[in-house]
Amino acid sequence: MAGAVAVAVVETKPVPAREPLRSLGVGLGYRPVHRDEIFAHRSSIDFFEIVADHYFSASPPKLAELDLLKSNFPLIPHGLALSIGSADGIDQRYLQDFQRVVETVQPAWCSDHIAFTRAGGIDIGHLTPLPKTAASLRVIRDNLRRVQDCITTPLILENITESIRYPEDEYTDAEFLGRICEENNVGLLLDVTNLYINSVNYRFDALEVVRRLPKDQIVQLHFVGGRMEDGRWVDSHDATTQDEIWQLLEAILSLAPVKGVILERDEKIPPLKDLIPELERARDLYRHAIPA
Amino acid sequence: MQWLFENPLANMPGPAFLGLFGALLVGAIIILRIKAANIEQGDHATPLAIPDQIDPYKIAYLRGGDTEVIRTAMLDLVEQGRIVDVQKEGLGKVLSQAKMQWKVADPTDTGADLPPIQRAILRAFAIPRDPETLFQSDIKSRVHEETRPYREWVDQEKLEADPEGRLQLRKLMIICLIGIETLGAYKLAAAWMHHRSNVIFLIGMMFFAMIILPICAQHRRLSQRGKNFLRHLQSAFGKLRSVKDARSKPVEPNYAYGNASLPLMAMGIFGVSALQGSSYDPLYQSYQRAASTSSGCSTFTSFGCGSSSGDSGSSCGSGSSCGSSCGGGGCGGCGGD
Repeated sequence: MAGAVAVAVVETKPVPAREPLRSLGVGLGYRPVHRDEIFAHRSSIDFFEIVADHYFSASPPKLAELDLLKSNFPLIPHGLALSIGSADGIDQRYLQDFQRVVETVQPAWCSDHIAFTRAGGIDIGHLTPLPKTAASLRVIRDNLRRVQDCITTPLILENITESIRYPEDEYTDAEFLGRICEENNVGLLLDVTNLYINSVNYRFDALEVVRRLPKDQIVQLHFVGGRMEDGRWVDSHDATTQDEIWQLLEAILSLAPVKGVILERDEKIPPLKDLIPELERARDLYRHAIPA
Repeated sequence: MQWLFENPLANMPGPAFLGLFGALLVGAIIILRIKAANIEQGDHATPLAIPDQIDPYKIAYLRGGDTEVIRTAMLDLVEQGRIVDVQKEGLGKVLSQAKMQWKVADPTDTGADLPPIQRAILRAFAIPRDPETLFQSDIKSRVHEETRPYREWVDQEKLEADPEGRLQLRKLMIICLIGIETLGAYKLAAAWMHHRSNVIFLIGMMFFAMIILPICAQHRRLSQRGKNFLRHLQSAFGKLRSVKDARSKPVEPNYAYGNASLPLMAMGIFGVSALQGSSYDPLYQSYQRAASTSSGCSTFTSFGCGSSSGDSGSSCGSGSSCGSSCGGGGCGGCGGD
């Protein structure tokens, strides 16, 4: 049933033409703790995703770090608080800071989350899920227009882990993500771990969601290990990627012409050499699914 | 011929002439600085990426030319145990404490298995010597021949200030200097013809011009692209800034280092200062002692000679003709009423 709705959306809203994005390969979410190790393992890292917010009003050493990374790797700026789902609009100052980082880096694309981090002028400090409603879609559309007026680099949006679901939800996950992409001409940063965790916690078929998404708009993937806590999966970003997530990642790569895959480890960060096996495994899957 | 010393310039009052002279000097200084900045700037919009495998010798060359290659090669030989500190052999107590000497560990070692640079240096230590004496010997010219691939790389990647630009800058400086000094000399001659002796300020300014113009025509050895590349390397391998416990740790196989050891990489990227306090401290001390008893460019800093800003490769000995063309006689009058 949900699939039928998604098809209808595609038919009523033709997708504007978008320039093809170049493939970046398999990379890593940059964490400063790895700085001294990256050049010793550079053959395993095709590109880095940087947290754009860390370079707003950056100190000279941070700017030097950005310059070093930019001179040696393709970079993708990833925002944390654009708050594309805020009903009170986009924070102009945040947008300008984000734009400045994007202009400095000149990336193939940039990204943020399908979430809100600010409401009523108050920073929540957390990626909060949106109700999957037509009203949310309108808010996202209006906010995206403002962002796209300001930043010409393609913006892609990431699905988040949902700690709550709203009784008002009007769409399934696939419908909601599909509509956001199709109606706004934005790509999807599909977080495989988030999708897996939501599918387990809310009991739906993750792969079925992927099958119903507009495949050409799945630009990038995130993956990392999570953990179980009190019978629920938690997006802890602190563990080696579990087999179930690898299987989902492989399936997605076989379905969508993904341009980049990022391992996103944020907690209990091990030495870089300990992450290399995961990067290499992802690279094998990527090369197998998407030949150069 | 009377017009030669009877014209508005020759008869210009002293303060006015000094004003004109000073304005021309300032103009020349500005032009030379702009030109020097331009040749350093080069094309730095496209940064040179850090290569997959780093050759410490190549980076040492970039950092400080042949001198740093020699120092790196010497560390290489010390690491291999083919050159030893004479003090370790028990002779050090007899030798002067100010001179730390090194020699081949095995007198029969000819270095036949070594690459040419290391071989030349090994052979130089057949007689115990202070490492810094290598730079005054024919070793340096032999090493210079062997570092040609590094020079070609530096040229190809535009890591040094543009050679044509350097020549142009030198010519421009000479033209400015000759023009300014000729004008001053002409005014002195005019003053002498008019039997005036209040020329002290003009003479002072002419001397000042002779000093300041060559200084203003100096530039750093590396282009902005070269400086950025070296800065990126030093930033990326920041943990090598000091290799105090490098010898006690096994060297992990490492993509970027290839076959080079940590101390050798540290030496290539940061210079001998990275060895301070490490197992190779005697080598560091040797260079430090030599530096404290010598002058000029043979400093032991990681940035090569004379650079005070932390940038690499100063222009010591480059292009400009410091202190030239001074002298000659006859500082006469200045002229002016």
